[in-house]
Amino acid sequence: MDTSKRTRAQSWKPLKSLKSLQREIAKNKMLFLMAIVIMVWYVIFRYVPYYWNLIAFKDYSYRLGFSGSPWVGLKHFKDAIADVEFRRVFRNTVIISGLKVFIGFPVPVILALFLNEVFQNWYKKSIQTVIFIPYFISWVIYASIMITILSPTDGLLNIMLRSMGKEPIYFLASTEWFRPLLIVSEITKNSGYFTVLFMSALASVDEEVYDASVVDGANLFQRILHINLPGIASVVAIVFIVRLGQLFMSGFEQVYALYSPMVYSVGDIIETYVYRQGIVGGRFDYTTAVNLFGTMIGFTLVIITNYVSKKISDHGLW
Amino acid sequence: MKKCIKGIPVSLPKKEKIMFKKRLLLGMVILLVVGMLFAQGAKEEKKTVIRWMWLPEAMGDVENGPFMKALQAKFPDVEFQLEPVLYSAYPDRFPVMIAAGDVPDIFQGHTQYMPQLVEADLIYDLTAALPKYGPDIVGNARDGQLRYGQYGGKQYAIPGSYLLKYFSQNIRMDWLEKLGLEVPRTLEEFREVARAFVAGDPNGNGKKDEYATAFRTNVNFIDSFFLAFGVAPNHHQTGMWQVRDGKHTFDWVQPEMKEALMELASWYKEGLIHPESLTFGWNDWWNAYLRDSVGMWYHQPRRLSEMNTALKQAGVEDANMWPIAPPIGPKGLSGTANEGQPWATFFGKNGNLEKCIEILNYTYTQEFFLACGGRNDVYYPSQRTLNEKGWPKFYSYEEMLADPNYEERRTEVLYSMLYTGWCIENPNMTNTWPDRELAEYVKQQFKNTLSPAQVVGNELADTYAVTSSKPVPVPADAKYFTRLQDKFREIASRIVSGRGNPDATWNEWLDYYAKNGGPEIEKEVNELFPL
Repeated sequence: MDTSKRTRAQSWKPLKSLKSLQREIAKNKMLFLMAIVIMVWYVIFRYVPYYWNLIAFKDYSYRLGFSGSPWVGLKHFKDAIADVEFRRVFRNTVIISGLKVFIGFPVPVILALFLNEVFQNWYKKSIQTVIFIPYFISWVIYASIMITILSPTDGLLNIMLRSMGKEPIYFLASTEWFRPLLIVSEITKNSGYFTVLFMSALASVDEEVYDASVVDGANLFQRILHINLPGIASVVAIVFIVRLGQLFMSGFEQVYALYSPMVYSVGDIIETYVYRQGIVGGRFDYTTAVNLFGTMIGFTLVIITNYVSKKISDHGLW
Repeated sequence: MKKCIKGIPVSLPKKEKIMFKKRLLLGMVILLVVGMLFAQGAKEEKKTVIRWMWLPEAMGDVENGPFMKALQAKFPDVEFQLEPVLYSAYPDRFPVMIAAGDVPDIFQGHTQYMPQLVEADLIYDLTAALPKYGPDIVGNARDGQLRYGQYGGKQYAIPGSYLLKYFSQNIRMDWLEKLGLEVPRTLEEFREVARAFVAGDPNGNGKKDEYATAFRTNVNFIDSFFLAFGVAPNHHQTGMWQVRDGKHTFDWVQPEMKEALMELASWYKEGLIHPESLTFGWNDWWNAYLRDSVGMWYHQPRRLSEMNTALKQAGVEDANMWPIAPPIGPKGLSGTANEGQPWATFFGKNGNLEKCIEILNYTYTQEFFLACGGRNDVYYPSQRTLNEKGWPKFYSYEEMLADPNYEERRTEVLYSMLYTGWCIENPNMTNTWPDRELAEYVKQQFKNTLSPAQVVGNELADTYAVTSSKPVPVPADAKYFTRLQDKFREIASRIVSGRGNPDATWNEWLDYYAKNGGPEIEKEVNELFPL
């Protein structure tokens, strides 16, 4: 079986010279024009604010303002490392993000691989739609639904537990249940989006190769393992690297909408901590340092993963 | 064909001459009108722009109400730019607003932020200007009210008149009667009543869905139970301080706080407290009561008639939430907490200090009262009519009861009074009004609007109120208080919900307090407020 045929995504190559860039621009004027809007957005909202990260190295004073506040170097980073609260939110962030990546990430890949094998089109489309819809519901709404279903007094789940003679569980206040709930809700809400993404990648797998494998007598498992999975490996690798880069962004909206002080010990993450201490508490310098610390680790992880991914599978972001 | 020079006929017939003159006149009139409009526009441009940030929940639709119309009539040279901010969005908005250095000319907020506002040099020192431009504010202020707006010995804010003694312990009297129970007095008696509420099905729906009481967010809105042990979190957890052994001490780290939390933990474990209420927001909390499932309520007496009306509208015909004395604890202590550090009005340093104080001062005056017909709301026709002297005649409480929509609209009125000169709970209101007959008339009119429950509740609140000995924040609060507040919330909810070893949890809190600015705040409080 010839699996060496490169997909369109794999055929992109870096531009060698300024001239080739000019040629590319001339050839795809409209695409570049549309990209400008996105690039401007990125510059304004993603790159320009980087400058203010300097506040992490200053002892910010309302009176002196950003530029006038004295430089304190790594003081806030040292304070953060010594702070028991920071160590806790750091640990929670890594655990929650890690579980989301390592448990949640394979789900859409598996879903996509199996859905790809469904030949009843209406059935496939129905499943796709059903799992995709939650992605469009905001976390606030999704959390409200969860809170209602999980209520210890009149939630559906606890009514069922009671009818089975069991004690009701206050899931959202339980340190044992909170993290699993985050993972499950993340999977149910966002898996549909990634499933569609991987399914579109699967569409680019050469059908001839696929047909040949059937003729050669490959079973379902062998087809998935030797044709489909390698076919989407590049997309999977890229999505995985991007997800790892977000390791220190565990999902502010999700956690904020579901957590309470009762589950801070297992559910408070860097983003919610930064919100409470930085935005509400006004500790802009310290919380910028906390956030920067997490972002730097995330960035390092992206570089390492990209390197490892390229070494192992020849797929990477750059 | 006529001769023309540069298009103008040299000699015109009489008829055409008249037409020409008419057109010329018309042109001049148009020019005049346009000129006047421009002049008017230029005049309007000279208006002083006052940015006023207010809470829509707290002051209703001020923009379209008689309140703002009266202000606009009094200050035609001012253009009011109202900036509504949701109450729930306030904690986010405030620190960012301070950091950005962009504050409105007039804004309401919690005095917790006063150190940051002063440090950032964003608000005016009112010490000299207030007596000069705000004589009615000073003259009508409640006793000791202005002290709550001082920082570092200077007046930086005008605290709301509503502060101080205004919370009461309330109970469903109809539930007590149904179950044949006496009004509880001691904490133990409260517990017995709580057990009876939970077991006795007082709402009569055949389900075990009753709870004795409920928190509102964390362990808030249950200060009367804490004060049975002599300490309080304070209903918004802004901090409660009391003098012990000749020193200001922080209630949150006293051993009695641990005892109170442990007591509540045993109530929680026994199912006497609504299990979800540790995470309740305002709506969840209010709805739990409206579902006829919670019997004890800690809140302001002025909200009692609102609660009873809402319960009746929800189908609980015989609902009667009524104020009673707070529980007496094991050492004979009892009390209800005051506001702690109150909300206040600040004036942003934008060059309009005198005008801003004048505007706020106007809301304290007799002239303003008559100008807006005794109304600063939008929806509620609080005045039934005008009397023979042209003074607003208000609905009495009995008359209000006849109006099924009264409570909803009355709430608007009550809230709108918080941050201006209006406050029916301020005994000094009308002090500076020149027409003393009108002043007495207004006080009597307001008194008639109070429900019997509110009259009793106010008296109880006056009797049992425990006041924080620290009236305003100290500089160290700006640096440390939020993190202490955050940690205390966690510790309190962990102990009450029975998670982990309470002794270890309490020690964790004491350790955190000692290492995160607690002693620094204590030191400053004792230095700045000498006993």
